[in-house]
Amino acid sequence: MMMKKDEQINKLFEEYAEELAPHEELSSKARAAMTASNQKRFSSPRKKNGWVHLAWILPVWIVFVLSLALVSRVIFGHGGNGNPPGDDNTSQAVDYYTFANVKGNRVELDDEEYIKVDNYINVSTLKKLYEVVGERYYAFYTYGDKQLRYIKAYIGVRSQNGIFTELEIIAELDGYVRDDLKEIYGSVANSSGFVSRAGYDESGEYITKGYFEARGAHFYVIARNGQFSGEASQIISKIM
Amino acid sequence: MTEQIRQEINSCIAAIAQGDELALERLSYLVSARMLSVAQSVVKSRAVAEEVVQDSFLRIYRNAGSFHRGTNGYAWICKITQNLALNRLRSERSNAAENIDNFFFWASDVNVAAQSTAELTVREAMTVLTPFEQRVIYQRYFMDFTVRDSAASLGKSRSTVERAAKSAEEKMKKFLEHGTKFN
Repeated sequence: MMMKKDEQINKLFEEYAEELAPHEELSSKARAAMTASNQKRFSSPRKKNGWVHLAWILPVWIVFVLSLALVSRVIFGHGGNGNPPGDDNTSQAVDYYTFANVKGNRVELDDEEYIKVDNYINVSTLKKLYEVVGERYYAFYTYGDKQLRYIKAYIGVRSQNGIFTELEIIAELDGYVRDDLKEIYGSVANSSGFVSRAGYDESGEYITKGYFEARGAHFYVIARNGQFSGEASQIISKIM
Repeated sequence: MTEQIRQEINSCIAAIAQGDELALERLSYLVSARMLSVAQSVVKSRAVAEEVVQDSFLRIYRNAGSFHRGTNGYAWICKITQNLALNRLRSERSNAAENIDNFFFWASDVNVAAQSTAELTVREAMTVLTPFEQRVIYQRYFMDFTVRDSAASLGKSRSTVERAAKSAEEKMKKFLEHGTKFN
C-alpha cells in the first residue's frame, strides 16, 4: 500500500523547489557530448545509406539465420531455456540488431526461474572478492521472437582499500551484436581476448573500458572510479 | 511537482535518448535546480555539487535509452544525482561512512541572507528531525522517492523507512503548527 504524503509538508517542499533558480549551465558538458555525438552520427551517412540499400536483403537474411538456428537445434540439440550456449562457437553467423528491437526487464540475481544471471556475469566471484554495495540487472529480449539478446548489469563494488567502482556490464550472447555497441566501446571491442583501456571519453570523464569473451557471451564493461584505472581493470578481469 | 511536469520530464528523457538537444535544454531548465539541491544534500561544497550535477546530466544523456518509460523520471534523475554525489564523497574522504550517514541538507557555503522564506522554513522544520528522518523526508518530498526507493537507497527495511517517515511527519507538522521560530 502506498503511503500518502502529508499535504502541508508537500506544499512546503513544493514552495521551496519553486523558488530555486534553474542552473541550465550545469548541463553544458552533456549538451557538448550530445552535440558531438549528433555531428558524428549525421556526418557519416555512408553507414545509413548502406543499410537502406541492403534493406531488401534483411528479410532473406533473417529467414536464413532462423533456418540455420533451427537446423543447428535439430542436429546439436541446443535448448532455448535461457542458459548460455556452450563454448563451441565455431564460425557462428552474427545476427545484428538495434536497441529499438529489444525490450528490457528488471531481473533479480537469484531469480532462477526466469533467468540465472550468474550463468553469464560472474557476480558470485565478484561478491567473494569485493563488497558489492548495489546491483541491478536487466534482461533484454527481442520484441519478435522474445529471445534473450543480452543482460545489462549495474554493480557498485568497494575494494578493501576503500575505492568505490561503478560497473556497467553488458553480456551479449555470442552470435548477436547490437549494432551500436562496437562503436560505443571503440577499439577495445575488436579484440578476442581480455582487453581494458583507460582514458577520457568524449565528454571528459575518465573511465576504463573492458571487453572479453566468456561463457558463450561477449562482455562490454565500463568501470568508473575516478583515476584508479589499474583497480578498475583488475575488477573487470574478475568478471570473466 | 505537478503530474504534467512529471510527464514532461519523462518525455524529455525519451527525446534525449533519440539525441534531441532541445529536450536536454528543457530538462535542464526543469530539474537542474532540484538536482543541485540533491547534490548539495550530500556533498558540502557548492562547487563540488555543481560538478556532480554536470556529471549527472552526462549520465542521464548516456542512460536515457535504458530508462523505463512507465516509471518516475524525476526520481530516476534524483537517484543518479544522489549516487554520483555519494561516489564523489566516498572518493574524496577516507572516513566517508560517517559523512554519508550524516545528512547535511544545506551546504556550508550557502548564504543565509540569500535564502528564501520557504527555504528557511524547510530548513528550520528539518532541524527537529534526526539525520535519518531528514534523509527520509527529503527523499520522500523533494526527490519523489517511494518507500521502496528510500529503503534501497538507505540500506534499511521498508518498515523502518515507513516508521521514520511517519515519525518525521508528525514532528514536522507539530513544529509547523506550534513552532515558535516563525510565529
